[in-house]
Amino acid sequence: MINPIKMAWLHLTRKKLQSIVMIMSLAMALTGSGLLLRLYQISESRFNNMATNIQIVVGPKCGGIEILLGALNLEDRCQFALPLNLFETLKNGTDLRFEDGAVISSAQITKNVIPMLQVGHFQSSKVIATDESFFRILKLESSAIMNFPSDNGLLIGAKAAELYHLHTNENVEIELRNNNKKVSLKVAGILPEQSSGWDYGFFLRMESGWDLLRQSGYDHPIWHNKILSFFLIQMQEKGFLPLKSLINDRSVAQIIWVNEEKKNLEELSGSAGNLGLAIIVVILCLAGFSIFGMMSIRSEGLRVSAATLEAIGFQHRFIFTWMILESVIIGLFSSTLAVVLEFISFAILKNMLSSTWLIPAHQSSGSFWILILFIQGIAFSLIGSASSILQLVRVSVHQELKSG
Amino acid sequence: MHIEVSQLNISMGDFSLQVPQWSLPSNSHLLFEGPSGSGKTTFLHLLAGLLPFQNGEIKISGVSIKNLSGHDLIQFRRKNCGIIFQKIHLLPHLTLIENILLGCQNAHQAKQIDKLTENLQLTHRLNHLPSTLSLGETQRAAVARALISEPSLLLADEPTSGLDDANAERVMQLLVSSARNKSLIVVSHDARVRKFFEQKIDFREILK
Repeated sequence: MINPIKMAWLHLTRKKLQSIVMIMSLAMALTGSGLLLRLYQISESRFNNMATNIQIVVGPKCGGIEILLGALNLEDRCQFALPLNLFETLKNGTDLRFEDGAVISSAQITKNVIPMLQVGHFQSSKVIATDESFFRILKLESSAIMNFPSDNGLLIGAKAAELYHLHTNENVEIELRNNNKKVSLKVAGILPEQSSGWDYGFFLRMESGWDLLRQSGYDHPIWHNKILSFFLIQMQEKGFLPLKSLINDRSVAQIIWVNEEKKNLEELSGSAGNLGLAIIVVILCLAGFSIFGMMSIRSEGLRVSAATLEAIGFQHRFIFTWMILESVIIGLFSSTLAVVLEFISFAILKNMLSSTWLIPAHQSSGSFWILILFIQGIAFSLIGSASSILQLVRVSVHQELKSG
Repeated sequence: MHIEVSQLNISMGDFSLQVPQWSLPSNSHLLFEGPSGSGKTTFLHLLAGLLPFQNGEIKISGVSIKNLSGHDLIQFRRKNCGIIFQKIHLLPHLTLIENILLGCQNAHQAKQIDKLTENLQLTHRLNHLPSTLSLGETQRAAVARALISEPSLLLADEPTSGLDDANAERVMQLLVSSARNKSLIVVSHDARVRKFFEQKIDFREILK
């Protein structure tokens, strides 16, 4: 006696080449769309994770987007140095004097100036030296500043603590930026989650940062170890243009307006206009049509078999169940293969992205994506074969048996 | 099974078939002869309920097959009819034994498979796919599939085509002996078949 599931299994396993081609095609389409979806999500997280209350970033002359991602997402970009005197002038609210005699009063335009110096890294997380003003923009004054250690202690972001399973008073080995020398520092506290790229950072005092740079043998020919990587400025928009003109044209630094660079980045990465999503939809449609085409060809070959079954007394329900189960099996196998392919490809992709940026490494939530792939695989297989199944159960038995 | 056909009228494009009145008493064995294209296969399909019709009536043991719903008609066919198709129609992805078992309705019938396949000299080929078998072997498997459920009405369309003399003889003997006390309608051009039937009709005789 034969039941629909056995029928489906035998049909798939005895038409190996046909089945393998179908499963591979669907799996590859699922993998492609899954990867694009993940890239889209990662790309979106780039914007979602940026701190929102910073208007201006000053960094070395290495391009606006590089400065934006380096300072606000702690990505491994723009490794050059900035002189400390420019930062101190702005911080102290004194007049800015340039070589050509131009003078601008920084106190009138800046509200808060925050230093950032990339000292080294712990695994993929950046170790940043900064001061109390950094915690003011995070609105963490009381707790964080109180805990900000005066010695070589670290405050670490909430996501970094979660990712590396770190706890207060634990020692971590930091790899220094200049010579990859390792130094051991104690975790003095864990910052509350900010939902920004800074959640992945390790933070210590400026003085400790310069000290570590000195220990690593870093010595800039002019500024020695008194350098910064970036500094963040909270200010009025009206003060931006004169400051931009002065800093960009007359110093070694480059100033960026965060919203403008975010927009540039969005356009560059194709997020604008949901281009990424449109490509995913196109790929999914392509996968759907491919499955539809393959299932149609497959069902053509099954018309006589379906007619024969009906003629010898098998109900439409049997044929319908057989076809549905076959589609589900194809969907399951395709999804399983897609999960494996996606796992491998995403690991490679993550590795590539994480070399400069930590967030993707922390992005994957395996079970969610596996579930998505399985739902997609089965849905596509069923939708792709739906019309073929309906054709098979409505086949003209007499015509098929006579001409088949 | 007693078969009654009245005022049957069916048209499909250029082809039309009209049977004003025809009947076959229960447990009769009948051979339909006639030229190709005269509608023998279509008529056999009509009797089996494989081809819907609007005009006329076909009753099998008093049951009007026109009035049966799709589900009931398939059920009726499974319970009462064994059909051997002109083009054999084994399912290509099933082995010979799996194809024959498609005809089974219960475990008791499945137990008969050894005897049946032995009679048809198929025992050594049971686990082969149809594509690896000769035409004669697939034809005999189709006969086995129709006979395994011990139907009360056997409809056979050219059951000896593709068979050598010995196998044609064997198949016809098995068909006739299996249909003892049952109804058997065979459509054939094959002269070797004639000797198995007392009742032979030129199909054109029943047409209008």
